[in-house]
Amino acid sequence: MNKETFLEELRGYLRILEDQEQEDILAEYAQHIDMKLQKGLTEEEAIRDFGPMRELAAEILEAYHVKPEFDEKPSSRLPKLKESRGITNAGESLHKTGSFLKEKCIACIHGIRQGFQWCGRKCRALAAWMWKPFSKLSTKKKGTQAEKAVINMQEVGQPEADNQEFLANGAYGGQIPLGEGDLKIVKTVNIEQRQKSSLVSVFIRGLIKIWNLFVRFCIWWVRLFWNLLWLFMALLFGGMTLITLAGVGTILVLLPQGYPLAGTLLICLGGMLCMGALSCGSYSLILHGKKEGQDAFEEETEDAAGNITEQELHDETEEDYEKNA
Amino acid sequence: MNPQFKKGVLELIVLESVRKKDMYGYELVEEVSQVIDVNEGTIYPLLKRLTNERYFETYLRESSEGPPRKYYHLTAAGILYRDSLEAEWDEFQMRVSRFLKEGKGHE
Repeated sequence: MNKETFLEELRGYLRILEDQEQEDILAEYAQHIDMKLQKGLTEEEAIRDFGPMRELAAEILEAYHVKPEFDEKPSSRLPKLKESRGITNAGESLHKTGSFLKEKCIACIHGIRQGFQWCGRKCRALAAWMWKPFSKLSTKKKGTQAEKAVINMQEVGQPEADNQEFLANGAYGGQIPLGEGDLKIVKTVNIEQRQKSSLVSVFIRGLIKIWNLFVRFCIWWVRLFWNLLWLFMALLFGGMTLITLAGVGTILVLLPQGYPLAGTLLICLGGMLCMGALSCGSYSLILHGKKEGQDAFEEETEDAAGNITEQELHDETEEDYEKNA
Repeated sequence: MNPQFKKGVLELIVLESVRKKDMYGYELVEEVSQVIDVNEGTIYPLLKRLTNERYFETYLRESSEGPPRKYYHLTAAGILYRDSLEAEWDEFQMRVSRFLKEGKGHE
């Protein structure tokens, strides 16, 4: 045992004492060892003269009136020292793992956030895609409203000349620059229209709008499902065709080797043709459905527009008559 | 020598040594070792205890070789304590020797 380890071990025994006292005592022993070294002894010899460490520590502690049983169990103190070192080590490793986990958690949250953002973008894109047909519709409606205004004009009871002039302008949809007089006419027409539009007509118009939207929505979804269904069927039958084709190929290889597979070959051929036909049929249905859907869509919008104008025309003319009366 | 004897009388020897002149730890150990053969390590705790009980006071003095040394000086309370210890020792020693002599006289 050298001087360093001796002092360190002794410090372990004296841990109960105040730091200042520990330093004091250890300084004395360090000086003692140094003096011994000056006299020509080795560190080993100097320390051996102190006797057993336990007894030495017990005597030192006795000078401070420390409980004898405390220094009776120096071994329990030493392991404690080691234990505390273990605890600090464990603490360090815990700290390390903690910071590691923290980093990973931050990375995870970042990833999740990005994922959510991606989902949000996709949802928005999907919503925009789903709204496409309706945006077309709304532009169409604007057009029909312009027409409506033109038709209403005829019923307001304006002088015929003005009326015709307005009609000419209205028919061009305001693309031709209007004169001052024309502008005035347009304004008066709008004001009169507003005055005439009663609650009922507003309600009916709203209902029709909602109904139209609903119909558009339904048609669009039905079309989508229809197409998806036939696409699925076409793929399914196509796959079956390929399987039967493989079967036919196998049988054609096996037949020359003497296997009695003529019947199976016929079945396979029949199946293949059947499945192929079904697949083609399904695919043609998709195309047909698309065209049909498109046509139906356009026709319906036209019809709806026509209906609205006619209906409103009737309503408003009736109101006019009532008012005039 | 019996360690129990040594332990009892060691305190008196240390006190007497410091009374003659102020000493530092190692010097004191060498002084005491000349009188009785004692474990060198045990003198420091004794010095510590006597200092804690105010019989010694300490001061540092520079040395020509190495770090400053801690010198022990006997206080007034230390002198009184030393005297009472000496008196106890004398009486103890007297009684023990008288008892031993009486035993010899009977023989």
